[in-house]
Amino acid sequence: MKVPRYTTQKVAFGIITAAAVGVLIPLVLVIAYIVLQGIGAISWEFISAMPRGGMREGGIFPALVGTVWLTIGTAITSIPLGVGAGIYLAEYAPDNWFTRTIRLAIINLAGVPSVVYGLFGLGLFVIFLRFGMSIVAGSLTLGIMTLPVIISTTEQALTSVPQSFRVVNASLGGTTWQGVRKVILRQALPGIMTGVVLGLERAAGETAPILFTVAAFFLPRLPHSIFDQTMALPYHLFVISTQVPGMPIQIQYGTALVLMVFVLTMNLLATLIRRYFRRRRQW
Amino acid sequence: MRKVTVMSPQAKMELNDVSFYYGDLPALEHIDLEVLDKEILAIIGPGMSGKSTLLRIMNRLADLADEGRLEGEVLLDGKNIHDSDVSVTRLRTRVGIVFAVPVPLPLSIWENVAYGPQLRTGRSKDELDALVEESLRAAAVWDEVKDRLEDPAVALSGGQQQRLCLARVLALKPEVILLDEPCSGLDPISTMKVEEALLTLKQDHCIVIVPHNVQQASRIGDRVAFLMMGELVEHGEAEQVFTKPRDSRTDDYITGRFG
Repeated sequence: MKVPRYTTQKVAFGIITAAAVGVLIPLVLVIAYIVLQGIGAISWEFISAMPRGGMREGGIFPALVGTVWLTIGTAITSIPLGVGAGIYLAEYAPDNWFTRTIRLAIINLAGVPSVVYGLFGLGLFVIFLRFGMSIVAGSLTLGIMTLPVIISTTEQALTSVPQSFRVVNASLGGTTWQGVRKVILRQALPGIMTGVVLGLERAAGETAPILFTVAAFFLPRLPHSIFDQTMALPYHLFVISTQVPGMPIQIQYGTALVLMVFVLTMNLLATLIRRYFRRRRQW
Repeated sequence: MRKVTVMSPQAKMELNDVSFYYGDLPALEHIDLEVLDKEILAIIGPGMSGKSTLLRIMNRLADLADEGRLEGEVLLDGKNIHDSDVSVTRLRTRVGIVFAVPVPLPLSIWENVAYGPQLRTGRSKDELDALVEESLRAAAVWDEVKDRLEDPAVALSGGQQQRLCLARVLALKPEVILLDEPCSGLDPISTMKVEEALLTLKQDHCIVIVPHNVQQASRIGDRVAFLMMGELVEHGEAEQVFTKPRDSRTDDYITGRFG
């Protein structure tokens, strides 16, 4: 018997829709659970006070500040290098063994577990370069971990800009760099932004790379300089969830909620900026 | 008494035994061709005969082709354009090109026309304004866009875009203008406007056009070159090529037996 194609279409549509909804369910559950469990802990004091009483009281201010510092540090170390490398690969790199090696290296970097980055940061930045456990060491470690994401999304964003713009630029006497700067980059900016934010979000939420390079177990003060240690939200969350007996569960979920909101705010900001640039995109 | 020298038409560009290969595939073979100043040279021929490649060789855009290889020499005012002391970016402003499909850059109308001049420093906004207006007028599109120069160029119709692209090249103040089927997607009225603009431009430019049909070649071409399968079958005065072609293949092509 031949099934009418109208029926198969309906079944296929149903399955695909279910898959899409199925993806949403865990996301909604996670967010809802954390919000419900953690919202009670949220207060101005929780955000702005030092932790007290073996972290069972007070706030998470130094951890929040530490994560902000680390995110900024990661951005400073990874964006120029990552976007630069992406531009090189998309616009300049000839197809030869050298370029292929770079691409291979990037793919492999993306696959390295984050705890390995942590050990690498410990060895290179903390010990060999004598930065000690510090915001610099942590930012550099997170920055290197973030590079592959930024490089490959930058490259993809650039290569998706029509080739004809490059030809027109050349035909009007423009150099490759003039074309990139005046036309191509602006068109690719939304895509590049996406990659940058994805990378930074991941860095902001990572625990393993900062474990050996910057994160302090308990340091109820703000860092004095970029060569100082600091608390950070993901590690703090790990500590209060596993290392401190008798921890009020509300504080654990409150901390998770703050971290989540921090990351989602970055995401939202990026979406808004992206939308602004996309409206100006013309091809 | 001042001596008056009569300017005889002289070669603006010369192709001497030029061949071009994409990988192992020959696109053009042993082309000898002169382009004179203040004339329109129309290059006709069936598809895949190497017309576009020929144009792209003349301002070194063909250099950008992967695996492209050029033999022979191309001269501009007697100077080999591949000499090491020739700036390729400067060359491309002297030899401008308009493509078959208009590609406005994702910028405003004004920015599109000013794009080329702005790449080469040091012009005031007033100078650029004047240059933009002059170029758009010469390309016969000024009246249609003068009130919306800040609008995105993609908002223009196909015909307007093509004339914008012509204006963009004119703003470079080129000595040679190459046009690759500039009217292929245009309606008859836009085509007429472009052709009129070209006939005016011919007075102080050297123009090489790949027309989109034989009729256009006969309307505006002073001289005609007939290419087939990468071979320059014949070239000469338009009149002669169209009425007394020397090669039977030319005759077959212009009378519409193929192509």
